[in-house]
Amino acid sequence: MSVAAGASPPSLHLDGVWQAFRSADGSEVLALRDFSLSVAEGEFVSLVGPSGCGKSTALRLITGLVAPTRGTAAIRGLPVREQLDEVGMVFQRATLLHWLSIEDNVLLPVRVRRGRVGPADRQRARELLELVRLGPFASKLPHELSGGMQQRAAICRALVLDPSILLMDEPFGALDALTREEMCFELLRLWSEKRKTILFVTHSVPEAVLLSDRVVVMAPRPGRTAAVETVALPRPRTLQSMGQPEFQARTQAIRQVIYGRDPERAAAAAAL
Amino acid sequence: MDATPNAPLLPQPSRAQRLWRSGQGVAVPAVTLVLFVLLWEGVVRAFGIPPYLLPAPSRVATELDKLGVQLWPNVGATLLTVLAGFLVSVAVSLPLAVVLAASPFVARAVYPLLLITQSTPIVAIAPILVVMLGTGQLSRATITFLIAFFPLLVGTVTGLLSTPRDTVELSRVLRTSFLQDLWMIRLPAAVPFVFSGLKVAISLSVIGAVVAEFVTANKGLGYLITQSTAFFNVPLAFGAVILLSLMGVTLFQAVVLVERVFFPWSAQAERLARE
Repeated sequence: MSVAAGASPPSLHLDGVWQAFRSADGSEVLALRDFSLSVAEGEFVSLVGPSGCGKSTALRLITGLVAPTRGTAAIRGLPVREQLDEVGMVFQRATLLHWLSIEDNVLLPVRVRRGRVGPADRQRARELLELVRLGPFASKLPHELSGGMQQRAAICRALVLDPSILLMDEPFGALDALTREEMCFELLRLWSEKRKTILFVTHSVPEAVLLSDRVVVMAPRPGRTAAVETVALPRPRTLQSMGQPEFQARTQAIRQVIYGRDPERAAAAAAL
Repeated sequence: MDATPNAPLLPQPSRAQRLWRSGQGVAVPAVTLVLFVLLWEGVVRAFGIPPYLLPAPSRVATELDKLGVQLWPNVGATLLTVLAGFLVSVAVSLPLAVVLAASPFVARAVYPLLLITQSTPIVAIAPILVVMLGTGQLSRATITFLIAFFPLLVGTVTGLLSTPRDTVELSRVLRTSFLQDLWMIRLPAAVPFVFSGLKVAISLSVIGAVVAEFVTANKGLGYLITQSTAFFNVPLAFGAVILLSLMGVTLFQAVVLVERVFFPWSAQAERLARE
């Protein structure tokens, strides 16, 4: 899928964004330099790159928590600050409130935004939980669930206000390797049912390739786009997708962008 | 992973097993206590220790019994001072903690003052307070409050500031208002800290009340101690001390009970943290 041309504005658009921060010692740190990104409605885009390449800063720009120092961030053609309910966010840790049931955790955004929760909201929360196979656990407390289940509940919470964009900041980073793979397919299944625009930040190259339509590879200090790889693997993707030549080729290409300048590391990457 | 919850697989423990397990928590300390009292009684009798040095438990009981109905106004007076001081501590500490946690500026401004009040021995300023506030209940409640509030304040501030980073981020992404953030996220997250503070505060309130009664009172268990020791009635002083410990334990357990009943997840969090 490519960026939609024509009348409808892209779901998400960062245009020539520069982002500077003042660090603790008073010096200026450039987190993003001339960073642009357009994501079409319903597209799945991943941001990969080493630590400090501004991936998380890019996400925070879209939540409107920070304003770009220079450049613009827009959702469906409008400034992000006017589109707050269009964005759902999933963090690295599930960050469920441990004193609320799973269902009440999912309903937290509703309670914050509207002050009260109606039967229709409860219905919706339960449908979402059913969708990620957490139906029987709605009334449980978070600590009674496994890490993967907690993260699925956190995804439901991000979706409860029905945003058009889902931002995921290394959402499976705290999970063990097996649960992580399982969650990837769970997310793909969810995405095929609720066609959201997804911007997914990860450290894992295979994860990015398996999930995404496009992978944006970023370089650090200052954060900028190093390459954009389009993944032509057919959907729906399965475990078999990872054995296909296209998967290997894209994974390899991305690794070369990341490790390319260092011959030793490039050799190590090629051996992987 | 997704099997229906609640399906019991393990055999349920038998009635006798459950009784034994739940009884252990009460029975073992009770037996220790009884043995201790018997040992005390035995030692005093065997060595013929005079009652003004160490009275036997039976003698203490007799002295308390002699006082009869006169005992209750004393217990009531102390309990009133303890509760007044404790409630004022709660009423002052919780809102002040919210302000201190919300504003680093206010915190920086107020902390030195708080530290000074805590570095000053309250016992030393108690007589001065009596001159300032009079010899009544107000003085006693104030002294109790000054002794009890600090751990609760510090505990609550710590609790409010130790909300996990990503939970804070979640709250910001959801665009919670200050009050929503406080009420829905920070305060509930701080409840285990608040209760740790409350448990210390209730124990200190008992100490505070006794200190206050040493300085100014015409009844109360602390007053009873000063009066009875002045006349070498050591058994009665012991009786008052025992009643004070009982009061302290009971009030502490009452706080524990409130936490378990109204904030079961908080008691749970403490239990999980211990494991």
